[in-house]
Amino acid sequence: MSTKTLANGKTVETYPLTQAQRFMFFVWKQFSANSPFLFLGSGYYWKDDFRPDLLKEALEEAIARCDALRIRYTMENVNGNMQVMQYLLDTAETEVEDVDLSDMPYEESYEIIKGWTKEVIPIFDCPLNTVRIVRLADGLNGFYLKLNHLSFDGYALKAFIVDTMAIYLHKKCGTPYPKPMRSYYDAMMEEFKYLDSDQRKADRAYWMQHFSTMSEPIFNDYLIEGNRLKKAREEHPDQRFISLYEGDHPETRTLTYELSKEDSDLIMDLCKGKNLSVPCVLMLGLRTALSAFNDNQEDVSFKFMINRRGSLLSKKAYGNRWHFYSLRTIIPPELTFEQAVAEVEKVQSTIFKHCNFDTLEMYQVKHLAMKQGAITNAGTASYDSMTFSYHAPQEVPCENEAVKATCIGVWYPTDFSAQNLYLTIKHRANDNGFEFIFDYRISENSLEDLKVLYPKIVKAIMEGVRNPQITMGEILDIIKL
Amino acid sequence: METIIETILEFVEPDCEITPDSELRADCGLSSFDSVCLLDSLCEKFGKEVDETVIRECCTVQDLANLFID
Repeated sequence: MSTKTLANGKTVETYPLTQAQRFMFFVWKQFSANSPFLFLGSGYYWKDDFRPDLLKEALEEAIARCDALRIRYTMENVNGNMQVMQYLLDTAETEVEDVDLSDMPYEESYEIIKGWTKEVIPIFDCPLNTVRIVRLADGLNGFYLKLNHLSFDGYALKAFIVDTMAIYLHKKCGTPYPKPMRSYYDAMMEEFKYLDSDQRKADRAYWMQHFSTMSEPIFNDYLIEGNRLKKAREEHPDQRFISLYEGDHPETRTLTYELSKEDSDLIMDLCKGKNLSVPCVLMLGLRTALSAFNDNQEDVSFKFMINRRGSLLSKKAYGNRWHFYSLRTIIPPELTFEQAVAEVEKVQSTIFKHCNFDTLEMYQVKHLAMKQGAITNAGTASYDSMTFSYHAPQEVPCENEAVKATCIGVWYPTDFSAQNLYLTIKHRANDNGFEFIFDYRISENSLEDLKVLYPKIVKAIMEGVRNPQITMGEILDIIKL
Repeated sequence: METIIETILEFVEPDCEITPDSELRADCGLSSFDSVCLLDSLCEKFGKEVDETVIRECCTVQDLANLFID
């Protein structure tokens, strides 16, 4: 820890980035340095007898309760090396603006707001976040957030929406005021404490052992005609990895699919009734589709995001806590759907136990431990064709069912990504149904193939949900290309 | 059981009502990640090693307690 004197003469303590922030910063500089990669844009809108005065007050109070909005980043000379550091201001210095876009069609306002998200702003020693009350066409009103990805992940962004709405409803309807949020400083210190802990040494030893003893995974492509491993194997028949082109063309677009409320409820009911993990059911659907795309391959890996929010402190302290891990499952065709979900959850639990070990260091351990395949090749080589993340429902308080039915949560993509294909599954604001968002790089992906992927994932899930005793082999027969 | 419930309260809002019959997912709102962290925390408190994969067999607080209380 060191100190910095601000322009106003005040001295503040500065801290290194946490491991999760370091990874995010590394990816930004490595792959998309001049892109809006570090911004998260989201809107939350609804129809009620709108009280913008109360919403403004609610936003101001939520801002005051959110330590992460007070974070600033700076470059500092640490032992002769320029290093990115963070510090906390006394106040967020975030003004709530009020913008009226109600006189234009929704689609037009969407593009304008998306433009706000894509606008690149500096990140050092300056305000990083934007909060706006927004009025849209057809009586939709709400607010827009542009938050810095070093300070917020998707979970933290949603937590801010939940807190704001709870305060708004308290002011408007007299509902209970939300419980206090937690200290970002305390959560950050916990992260630093881990770095010097015996637990970290144990985690490192675990991963070292894991990577040095496992068999080599295999790349499973989501592309059909252009299957990259099949092409590579024309020259190198034993190759099991692919060098993904992640550097120069990070421009993306999104494909969004809505699963019906009925089907979504069936999934949730099955999970509740059989004590199954929702993300594991979804991930089983994804890995089964990838298997079907690759001659019913039993050994399937993809990257998945862990937001590491277990304790109440980590759930309520905002910040970015994402770590990425490869989830590899080997599922024989005779396993039933229910047994296969258990297998995915078993692998997931093992990763969870050691997932405070950060992504960047994990790559180093992999390089030390693995002797074959992708690890001995270029840095872009991978066994994971895509990335998955699940955003668990965080219930946003609402005035009544009629208003809830009008609620929409909107993600405004930046159209840039460090990943080839990133599937996010989240819950809709109005009915809790699933939304599948595919963020894909346009230079490396076939839109036609991506349009096949979604129905295969859903078909695999729904076959298992309707009959948990069906075998994975039977599901693969049903969804075969 | 008191220690088990106290530990669960580190993962949920303090006014959450927890009984031995409470379901970890449905009533306590614990995710798979929460459950693994909770198990880790209990292992430390009880000085006992429990494989993290057994957590998925635990439906209620009592099931969890059975792993630690003889």
